[in-house]
Amino acid sequence: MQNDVITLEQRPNPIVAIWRNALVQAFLNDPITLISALFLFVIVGAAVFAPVAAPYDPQNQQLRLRHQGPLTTGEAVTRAASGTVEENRFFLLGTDHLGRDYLSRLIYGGRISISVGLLGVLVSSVIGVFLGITAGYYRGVLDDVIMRTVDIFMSVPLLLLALMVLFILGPSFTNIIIVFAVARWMLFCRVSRGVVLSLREQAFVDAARAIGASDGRIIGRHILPNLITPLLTLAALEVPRNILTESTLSFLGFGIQPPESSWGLMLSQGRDYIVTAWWVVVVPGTAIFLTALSFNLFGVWMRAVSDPLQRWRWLKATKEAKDAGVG
Amino acid sequence: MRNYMIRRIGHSIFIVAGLMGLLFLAINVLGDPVELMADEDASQETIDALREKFGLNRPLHIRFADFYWDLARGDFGKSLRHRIDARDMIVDRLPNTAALAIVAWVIGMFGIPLGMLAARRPRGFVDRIVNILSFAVISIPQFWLALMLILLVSVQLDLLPTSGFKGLGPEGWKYMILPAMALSPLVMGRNAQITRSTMIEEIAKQYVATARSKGLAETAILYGHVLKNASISIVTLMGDELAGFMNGSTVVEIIFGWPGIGKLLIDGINARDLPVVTSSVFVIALMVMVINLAVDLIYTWLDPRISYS
Repeated sequence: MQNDVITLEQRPNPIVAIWRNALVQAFLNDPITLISALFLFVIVGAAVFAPVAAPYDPQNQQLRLRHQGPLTTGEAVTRAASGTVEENRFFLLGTDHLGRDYLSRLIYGGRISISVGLLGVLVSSVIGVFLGITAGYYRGVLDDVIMRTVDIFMSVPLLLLALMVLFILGPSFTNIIIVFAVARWMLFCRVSRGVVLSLREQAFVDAARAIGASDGRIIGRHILPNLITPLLTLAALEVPRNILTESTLSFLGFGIQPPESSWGLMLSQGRDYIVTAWWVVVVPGTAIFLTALSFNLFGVWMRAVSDPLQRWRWLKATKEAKDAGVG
Repeated sequence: MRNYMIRRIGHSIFIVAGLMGLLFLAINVLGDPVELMADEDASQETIDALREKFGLNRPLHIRFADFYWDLARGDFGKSLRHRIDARDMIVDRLPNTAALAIVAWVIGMFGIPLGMLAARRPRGFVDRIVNILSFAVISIPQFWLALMLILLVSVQLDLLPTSGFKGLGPEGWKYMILPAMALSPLVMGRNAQITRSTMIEEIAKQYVATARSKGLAETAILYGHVLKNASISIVTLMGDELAGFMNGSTVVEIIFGWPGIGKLLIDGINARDLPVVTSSVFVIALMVMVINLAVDLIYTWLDPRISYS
């Protein structure tokens, strides 16, 4: 009985164990990474819960309240069946050329921008990883064909490929995702092929094969788990690229079409009013910039701590981790 | 070496030809060229006339062969909108794109010393500053930076013209400053990052320890050995960037009204001007291939261990 109690006391509390984990400590001790992660949390949260987070209807036009500056208030008049309703509104980020609340539009626009970024990565990574594993695991002619195709696609500029696809298919949300599937799978393919090439020669894969595991089982149970870290890192760095590309395409008029909205489209619509209403250009641009920056900083931190040659520089600062004997 | 060159050029031609073939098939099989050229509300007669005029009622394989024959001769047909040879329009615009690209590219080279500075002390003060700055500049949407520059420099301070083009001669330089300022930070940031990471990787290698232990000065190690070995990755990236400018400056060209290839392509797409679109894509792809080829040749000079036999 007493023995049990002692064992329990010696076993660290799971929450303390997570807290003392070298990675978590390195994360908490790195203010830049911490701030980027918190920012992403807020932005993604606002996008997911847009109907709750947005103070007003993003489509509600108030023509008398056009181009109200940030931090102003105005009387919004809504005509309903029961008569006109007057409402005092506070515009944190001002209004646009149709008197729509810019903060609400930013939140709803972020929904599209961020989902394009994430979905684009998802689709291109699935294609890339599938082809990369096929090439690396089965080698032979298939490997040659896939890797030559990668070379060809790598040598075509992204924007050119994107414009060609959208020129032929026409602009829409789905077609932008197709653009990313066509134009961004190559890096995922290269990375996963590289990992598979080094893994397939290792003893644990031989052992699995020796006990009669099928190719599917070897790939699914032994190779894929080893791919997760490099792929997540690559994905974190690809999301901002996609968000920037989407905003560029929407700005040029080949991306998201009204009445849908994304940050890039907001910029493109605000461009004509840049002289009279600076915030219609400054606000969405800042949103794109900060989101892309946070993804990039977070991704590069992930890359650094998962790289055995670099990680000590990031982990050594944590004294608690050293005392706990991890890291 | 000669055999390698022949193979390498053959490879490039194959890629450009393959890309153009894909474009042709995408336009003709996935879509309908007449639909891409005609207005949305064009009448059936106009559509038939267009089909007749461009020989689009001939079988696909004949048109396909014709398409390559025209490309080989450098004949892209006349622009539908401007009624002049698409080739002449390209030849007209190419120097503008190239000039802007080279100016921005050269400014971007200042990222290399910044990256070297950062690599001397990884995770040190300078490194952190360079790191954040370089990630900041690669996260800025280029077109937004361009708009902000117009807002600040042209509208608020009234220093430079908002947009326009007055030739590449002495009276045109004022128009080039803002576009170059919008394009170069991205390249500078990427150069700093790649220089930093390859230098750090190189410094960790055995030969650096050897050089240090025989008493070589740190500066001599960094510039004489490490930088030279790191230069392969840097040159690759710089080649990619110059190639990217052939197309990547599109948005900046549009915002500043800079008459380059990128603007020609976008205007062509908007005006449904198929010959202009095809020829712009062809020329951009060609330029990218030529630059990649040049980078490959520079490798042999930088690293004698690479042999092309």
